[in-house]
Amino acid sequence: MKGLLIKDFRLMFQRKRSFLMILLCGFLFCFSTDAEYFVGWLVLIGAIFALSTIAYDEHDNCYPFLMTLPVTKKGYAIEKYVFGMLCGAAFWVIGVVFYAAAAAIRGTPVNLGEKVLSFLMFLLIPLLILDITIPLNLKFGSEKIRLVMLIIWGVVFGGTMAVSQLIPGGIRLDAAVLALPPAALTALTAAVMAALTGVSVCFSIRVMSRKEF
Amino acid sequence: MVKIENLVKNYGDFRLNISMEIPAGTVSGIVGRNGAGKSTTIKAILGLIRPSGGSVTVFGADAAALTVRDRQKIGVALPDSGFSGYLSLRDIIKILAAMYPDFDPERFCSECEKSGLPMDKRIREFSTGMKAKLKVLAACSHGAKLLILDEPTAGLDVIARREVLDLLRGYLAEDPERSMLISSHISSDLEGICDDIYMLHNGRVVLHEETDRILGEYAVLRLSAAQYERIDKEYILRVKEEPFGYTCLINQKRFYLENYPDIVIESGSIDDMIIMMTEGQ
Repeated sequence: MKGLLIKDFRLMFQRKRSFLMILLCGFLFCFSTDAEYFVGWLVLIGAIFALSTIAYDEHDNCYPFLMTLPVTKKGYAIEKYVFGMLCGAAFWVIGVVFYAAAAAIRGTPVNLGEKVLSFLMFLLIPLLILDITIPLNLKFGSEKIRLVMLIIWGVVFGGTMAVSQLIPGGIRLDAAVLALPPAALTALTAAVMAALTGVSVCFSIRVMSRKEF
Repeated sequence: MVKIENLVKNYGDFRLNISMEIPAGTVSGIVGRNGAGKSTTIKAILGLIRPSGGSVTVFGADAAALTVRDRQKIGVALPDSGFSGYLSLRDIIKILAAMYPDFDPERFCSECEKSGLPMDKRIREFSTGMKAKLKVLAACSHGAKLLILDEPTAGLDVIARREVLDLLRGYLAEDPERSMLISSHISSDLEGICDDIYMLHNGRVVLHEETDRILGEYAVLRLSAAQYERIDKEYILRVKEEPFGYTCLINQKRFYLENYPDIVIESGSIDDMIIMMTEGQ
């Protein structure tokens, strides 16, 4: 897996100009009044950068050769999650540093320890994105994935509209969930994310195992 | 090292159905026309496709279930696939070093330098020849016991081909246990390096023979209709009708040289064999 991680990091750094532009934007956004959200935005961008390496692997028909290297199909699928989370975590650290630096420059008093704890929730963003998009990317390829995602969004949007039409006032889950004690809410979130990641990883491994190159 | 028993793979109308074996220390070549099944065979050995039937074992294990450790003992070059063109040699050195415990970066760098491959240029900016050399150098960079090379000399000029083949000869000579399976459209490349040749046609092995026998005992007879009528046909493998009479592929050159001194006998080559085995009756 180490070799694949090195490959993906080196591929990601091929886009160092856009990388630097995004970091610059992220730093400037941290001076705005909604600076907290931009830490989340940076983490989201980190996950998207990580996903682009699947497109690099597809490009130039690299897959057959990659699958002859000392890598199993299962290992390849898992590496994409690991790499995505490493990128998300790296961008999270950068986001937190930017946030703290911007606050220091502005002279705004910030309880950084408390903020960092609340920012930890942002790490769920890359995980959620990776859980949904890695199996779809591996299954449909980086070209078809756009159409697939469009269909998924259409179904989700249509489904939401249908539910709101059928049930006046819709279903309000947020109030019930937010009423939970913090420890229970954290445990519920962790359980849901762990289950989602487990299903996603299993699906990705299955897709890779069935692929022919 | 590699054993294929009754491998079957169906692609629409095409059906591959072959058996072959590459023992330790052997260099085997695969020849055949386009679409004969050469690349499909290589993909099955590498576990890149799922066989419809039969078995493929590499180092005694199912090719589709090779471990990382097994894969570290295999060096591969494929004609239409390799490292991303966005990477440079410097990137590849780091990747290979992380993947193969026996990767020798100093030797790899020295071989790349000798072959004129720049360290910092992206691979996509390499010429066809440079890309081909890089694939072979990477395959030979980590002490692989088994080399699987599909068309490694495709697109190379005569000098570059000789350099690649010399590199392979040198690599194989370092360890008598090393084996190689190589496919090529350029039969002279195979004649100089292979111990035996498998000829594929329409998904089947139509001939498996030692290279020395092909070059020493196989021959092509150019015969008029009258000559064809009177010669002994026991050692004729294939016959092809020509405007001047007949062309025959035989596997006992000496017999015809001794008994029919008046007929035209041309020494065998793999090209002749391919033409006769695929077009002859």
